[in-house]
Amino acid sequence: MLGELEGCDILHAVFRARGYRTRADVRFAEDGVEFDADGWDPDARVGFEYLSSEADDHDDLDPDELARLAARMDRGELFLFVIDEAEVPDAETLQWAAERFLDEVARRRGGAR
Amino acid sequence: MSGFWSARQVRDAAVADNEALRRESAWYDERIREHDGDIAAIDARLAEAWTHLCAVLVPELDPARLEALALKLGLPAIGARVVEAGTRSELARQQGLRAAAGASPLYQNREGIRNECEIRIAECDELLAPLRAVYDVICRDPRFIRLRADGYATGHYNGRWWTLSYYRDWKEADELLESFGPAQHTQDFPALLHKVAEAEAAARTLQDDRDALAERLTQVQALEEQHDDAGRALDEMPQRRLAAVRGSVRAHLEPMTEDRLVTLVGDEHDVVVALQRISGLAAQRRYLLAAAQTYLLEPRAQLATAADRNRRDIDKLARPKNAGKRFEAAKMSKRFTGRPAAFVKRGERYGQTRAVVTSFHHYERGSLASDFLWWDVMSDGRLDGDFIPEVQTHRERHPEAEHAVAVAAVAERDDPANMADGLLMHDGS
Repeated sequence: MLGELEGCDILHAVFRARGYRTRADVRFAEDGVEFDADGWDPDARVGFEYLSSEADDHDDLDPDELARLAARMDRGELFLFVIDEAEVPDAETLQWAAERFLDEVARRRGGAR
Repeated sequence: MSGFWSARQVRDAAVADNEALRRESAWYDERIREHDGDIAAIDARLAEAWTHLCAVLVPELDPARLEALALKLGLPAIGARVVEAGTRSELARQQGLRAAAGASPLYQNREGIRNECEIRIAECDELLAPLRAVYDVICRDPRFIRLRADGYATGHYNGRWWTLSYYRDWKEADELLESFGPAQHTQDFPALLHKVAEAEAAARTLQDDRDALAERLTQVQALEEQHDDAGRALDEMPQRRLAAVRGSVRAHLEPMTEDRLVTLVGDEHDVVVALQRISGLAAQRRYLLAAAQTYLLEPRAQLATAADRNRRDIDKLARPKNAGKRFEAAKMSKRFTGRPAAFVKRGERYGQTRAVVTSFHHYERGSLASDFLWWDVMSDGRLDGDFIPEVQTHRERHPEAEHAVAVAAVAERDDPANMADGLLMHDGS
């Protein structure tokens, strides 16, 4: 299983390769949802959050907060790739999934990135 | 030899003694396994002896003999009329079973039904094979199992596009399609799912048909067995009824005490010989159990205590403050040489007892008299049997008999040298 540190490194690399300027551990506090994002580009409003049991991150985003973020993502206001550490089989799958997520973000924004 | 042992000497002796105790423990375990085998062998011979006694008591189903025996034993269940009624009832039952099986259309047409079922089962298997090829392998794939359980590619799927699991599912579905799609001529995952479900449904129907055919075959086979078993039972009716009567006699007699048995079954020579065999075997069993208790189980239980004591002393004497201590040689010698010597002696006694008891077969030399002691015949008066409670009680009740029995037993032997030896040992010489 891929650990959070290694996983975050892979995700930063993928996001940055696609032109996003993700920064690590950025405080996100909007619309009643507060957490430290593992990767966040405040200008593009695109990032990722790696849910890991190691750091008790599961407690950072509860189902209610995830539902609020999901509603905002469906409206195109922000895009946060959520990864449950327990579901990552390997680095290759994580990288592949991150690429497909960013494809979907681009599609939803109506342009390539 | 000095009058004292040093701490080092005691410690070394304790270490050596523990090694000896380990060997002794293994010896006891081996002897106990051997003893269990002896008891099993005696029990088998005892069962044979009971079978023999019942065969002597009931040699055949002769009405006059059955009546007399039923009266003598107080066992009306083996009276001639009861046995005849039982035989008639059993005959009717078995004839009924055979007729019922024979009258069944399944049995009457069994060959045709068997052929038809076997042919149709083979056809089902032939049709099932390609269907199973569609779903067998993929349905064992953990990815397919999970995707199907999550409702992937159906309206029930809950995957969200912003989670990793959504893309992982997508990737795994693609991999499955790549592996299994070409063989099923499917281009997408929903089509693959559909093919698998279709094959499973068709196979289920065929499997139900096959199960019904197999069940029909089982019914035919059960009827054949019922018919044949009843036929065999009718052919063997006389032997089976005889065995049943003998079984009733045995069940009636076996729980009785030896005295009651002797009083009840009479004094015909063959009966007495059969009873003596049972009595002698029962005595052999008791003697073996007593020998195991005295010479194996009890001393083995004491080994752990001796080993613990040695271990404690080994630890204690290893401490520098005890290095200069001295111990009385007489006490230490008794402790470290006395017990091993007793072990050797016990082993010899057990071996002798076991040998005389297990090798004994001369039941005709015994007696059913209440003051008779099998031990005297088995041991020929050469072994002390006081460790056996019944021998000890007998000696207390008949203090005058011991010498006479020994003399008589020895006198029966041919070798004059053995005779003298036996007498000397009994005199305590």
